[in-house]
Amino acid sequence: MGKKIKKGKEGPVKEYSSRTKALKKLQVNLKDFRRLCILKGIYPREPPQKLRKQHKTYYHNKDIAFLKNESILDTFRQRQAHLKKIRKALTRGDKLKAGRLRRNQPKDKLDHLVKERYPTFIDALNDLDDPLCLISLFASFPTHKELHIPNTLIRNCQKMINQFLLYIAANNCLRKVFLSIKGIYYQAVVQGATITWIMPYPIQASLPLDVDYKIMMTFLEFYQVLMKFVNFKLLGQEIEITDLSEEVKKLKSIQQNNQMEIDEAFKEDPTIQQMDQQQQEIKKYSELFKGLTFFLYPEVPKASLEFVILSFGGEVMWENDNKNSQLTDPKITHVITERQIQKNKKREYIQPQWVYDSINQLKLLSVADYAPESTLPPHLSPFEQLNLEEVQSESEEEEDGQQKEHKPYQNNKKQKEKQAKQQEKETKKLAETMLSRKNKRLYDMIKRKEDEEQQKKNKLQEKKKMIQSKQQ
Amino acid sequence: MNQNNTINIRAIRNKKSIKKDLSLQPKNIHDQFYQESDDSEDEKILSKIGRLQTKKYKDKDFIGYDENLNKIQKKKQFQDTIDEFINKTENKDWWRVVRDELNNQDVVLSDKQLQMLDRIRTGKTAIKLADDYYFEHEDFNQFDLLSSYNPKRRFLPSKWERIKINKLVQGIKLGRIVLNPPQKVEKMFDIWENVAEDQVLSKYLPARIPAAKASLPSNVASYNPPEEYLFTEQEKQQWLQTDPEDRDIPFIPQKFKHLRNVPSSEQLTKDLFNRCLDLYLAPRIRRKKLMMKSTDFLPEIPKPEELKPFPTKLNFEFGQIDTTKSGQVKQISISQDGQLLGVCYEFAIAFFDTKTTKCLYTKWQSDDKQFLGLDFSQSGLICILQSNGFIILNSYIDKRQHPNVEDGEKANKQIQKNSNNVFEWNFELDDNVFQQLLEVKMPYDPLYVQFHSKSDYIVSTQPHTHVKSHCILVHSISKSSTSIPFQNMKASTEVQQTIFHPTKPELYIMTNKNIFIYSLTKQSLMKKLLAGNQQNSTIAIHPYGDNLIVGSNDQKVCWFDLDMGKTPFKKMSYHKNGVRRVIFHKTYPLFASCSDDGTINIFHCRISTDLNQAPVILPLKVLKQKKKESVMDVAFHPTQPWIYSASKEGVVSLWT
Repeated sequence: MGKKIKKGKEGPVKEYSSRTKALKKLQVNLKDFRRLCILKGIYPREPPQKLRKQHKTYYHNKDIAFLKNESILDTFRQRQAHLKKIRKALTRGDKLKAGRLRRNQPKDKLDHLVKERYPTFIDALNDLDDPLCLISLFASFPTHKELHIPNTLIRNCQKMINQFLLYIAANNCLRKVFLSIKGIYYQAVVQGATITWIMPYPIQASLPLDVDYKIMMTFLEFYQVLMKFVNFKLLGQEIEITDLSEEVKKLKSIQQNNQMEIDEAFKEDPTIQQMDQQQQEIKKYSELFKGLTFFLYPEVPKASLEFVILSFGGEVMWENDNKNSQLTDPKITHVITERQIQKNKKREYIQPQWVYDSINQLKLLSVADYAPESTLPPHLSPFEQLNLEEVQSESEEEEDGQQKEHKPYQNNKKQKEKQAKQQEKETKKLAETMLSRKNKRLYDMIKRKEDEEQQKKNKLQEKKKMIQSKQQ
Repeated sequence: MNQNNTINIRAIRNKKSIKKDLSLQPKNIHDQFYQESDDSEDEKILSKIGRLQTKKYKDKDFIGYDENLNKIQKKKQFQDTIDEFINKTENKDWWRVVRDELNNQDVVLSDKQLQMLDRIRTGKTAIKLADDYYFEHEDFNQFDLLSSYNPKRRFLPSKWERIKINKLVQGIKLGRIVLNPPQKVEKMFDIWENVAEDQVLSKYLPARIPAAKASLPSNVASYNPPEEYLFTEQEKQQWLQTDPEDRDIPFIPQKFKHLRNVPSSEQLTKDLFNRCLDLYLAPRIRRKKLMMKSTDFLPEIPKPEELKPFPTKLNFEFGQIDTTKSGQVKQISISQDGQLLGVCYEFAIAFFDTKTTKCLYTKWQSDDKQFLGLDFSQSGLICILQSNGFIILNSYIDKRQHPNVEDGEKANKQIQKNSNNVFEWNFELDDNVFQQLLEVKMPYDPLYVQFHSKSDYIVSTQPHTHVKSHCILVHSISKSSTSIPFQNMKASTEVQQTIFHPTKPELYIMTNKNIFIYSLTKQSLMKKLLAGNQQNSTIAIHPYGDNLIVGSNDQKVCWFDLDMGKTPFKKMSYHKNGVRRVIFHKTYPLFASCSDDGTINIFHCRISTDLNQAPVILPLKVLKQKKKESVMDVAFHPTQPWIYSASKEGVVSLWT
């Protein structure tokens, strides 16, 4: 007989350790541990069933061992020692030394973490949603002394996001835009990776106080480094952006110079043909607003519209000291405003929603619905497109049914259809009885969800009908 | 000028500079003082109003009187404040202009005057005397003779300062102390240039679980959603009352007329913060998610048309028997070749030819006795149950005797007749169309009987016995004896029906709730099946012997797969009343159940020899009787897809 195995010493349970254990192992306090986890991208894992009852957070032992060998941990310790030195100098009244020490605090270097967390560039692109959201949020913040949000941080965030937007605009990567209550959602496809992020409206943000900004700023610390490298990889250089449209022009001209022409001998190769197709698809996006020049009035969100229009091939102007962009310019085809103003017959006057809706539907919509004086048609989410079509088709069917009622000669056909439907229903019922017990449970679960969704849809439909009937 | 002036003032404030300037000051202090102060004596004052306040002339257009009592007119310098403002911007010296009300003129203050004002303001003497320091301290120090000598230490460099400076210098030299370290300008580089370098690391780590992406917004979140997405008053109330965690939509949808009307919200910051918390606090696990629609689960069912043939409609009704005399039908049975249909009424037994539908033979019972059931054996014997016993006939007309019966007759002669024997075997020949071969008498009424496939053994069930062990009896014709297989029966078991397995030596005993399988060779219980019904009424076994159906009085039909365990593989509850009989077809993949609600259900059952494939059971057709009488019994034709049914009234019908 072998040795008696103690509880929790063997098997998958052994692979996990609770947070307090991890803290002991790493010899850091909770604050540092949190920071370490955020920077390294380590997260708790759902432990095996045995441990789940205890309501603790569990980390994988290998993850903790991975943290233990981290070089940031050294700087943590160095910093702690450094803080002790500062405290000592202050108690001795040596302000000169304390000040000098404070200036020379050891700093974390996070470059290697980027490579570690994202071994390839595509990995980084796939995980770019959260960094972009947070960076664009902080770019809109005012400096705040009490919350320790410094000006330099905000400036850097603005720089990062502007660089990224420059790449998107210059390469026509933008696909979908959605104006929500919270902010503007953008979706872009960069080198095959779909990136969705949200940017707040250009209004002075008010900072809620029930939020821990320190945590967000720790995330931001890593995200800034990540974005720095991503931007460099995308743009190939560091660009200080002052005027987006000029920079876009510059980049585009560089790209045109660099374009390779494929030899005719290779043109029949299927992969190259595929590439051609892809390029033509991208052309659709880049040529949506081609030849159009938009003039922006001050009440519209300038930055967003400029970015969006540029990335779909248009040109933008607005009133400023620059003599080139004035309302009298004959190039202007569209004027974006929300106020009723005197109209020039040669130009189209639209509200900003026209731009976003046209992008989502990938065609120039009729201008009349979006005139400044008319009430706007509803702005729909492009991320929900599939559902929409379904609803529309259903409603069409219903309408058809109503029309058919008036025509008696189609009654026979209708009856036949009815019979067929009934038969279908019967066979469905039969099939339901055929399910095994396990499948039946799954089937019931999925069916219930589907039914709930269907109910919601139906409810919306009913409401729509009610509203329409009221308006009439 | 202005700048020089301020510099001067600053210089005066600074005591050190005063010390340095000592030598530059004029020696005669008093001279300087009186030179400057004398100027004010010569000033003339125009208005001679004395100490009268100028307020008194505020509303008048003159300011006072001169020496000759003439009125002095007010001179307005500026028309209004705008003129004044313009003057201010143009005149560089406006700040040193002071209005002299008495003389009715503006005076530009000179630098010296300004200096004096400044001195007065800081609490010094109006005019700079030889040495402020000297004047301040002269009175107090006039007896302190030593104070005029500086101590030696003031001329020697401090030792301690030197030590300290040395320390700093040494520190800087050694690099211990870094004053204003040069800020490193980081050179950007492409971090992903060498791809294969660090990928080894991920081998040693547990598999990464990427965080789920944030959900994308739906139409509800739009700043200008369709009208139907907005809340009605009722919905809004409901939303407010529900717990924040239970809400489907975490905000109240709003509609704005213009994009510029959208206010800034703290919601985005909060959401992103929660997202951050999720990223580093939420435990992660990989879960399989079914991206299936409910319709994907449904198996493909063969259409009923493809499964033909099966009985679909009423073909014919047998009606030659006077049902008023015969009473209701107890049981029907069909011979193995399908030629004869035996119908057991309460007081009569009728045999029909299935091809011509003629009634071949009827046997009437005397009043005190009843017929209870019948069964055909494979070799043409017919067992007819009646009160207190059963009789066995031979269905073949040309064959007068049956080998088993002959053996039995011989055996019977050898057995000594004991008066104690409960079961009486009589081998008496009768001159009828259907020959009566033997008769067995028992002290109770058998309810159900079944031949074994070799037509030698018969198992009969009689639930209403006073001796519990006599519930199940096995009769052997060739031995002309009756045996009691289960001597020790519990008093609580109520045996409903007993059948033989078609191929194996097993006996299936159905009690009210359970089914017991007994091995006849081992003489032991093999298996117990739990139907889960309250009152089982009927049982049938598939010709292959692997599947079993049980009907119950609580409207259910259970299908057992004997390889799959002791609970039913499938329960079907299509009947609205108690199930009377379930049967399998011998050649077609069909089975049927009949019920008191007047319906016969035909099912398709496909059984494959592959153990992995579950049997496919499909309800095919519901045959409804016209009068909705309860169907007492059904029987499949052995070779054709036909079914015979008998209603309570005594109507026997054929469905094809």
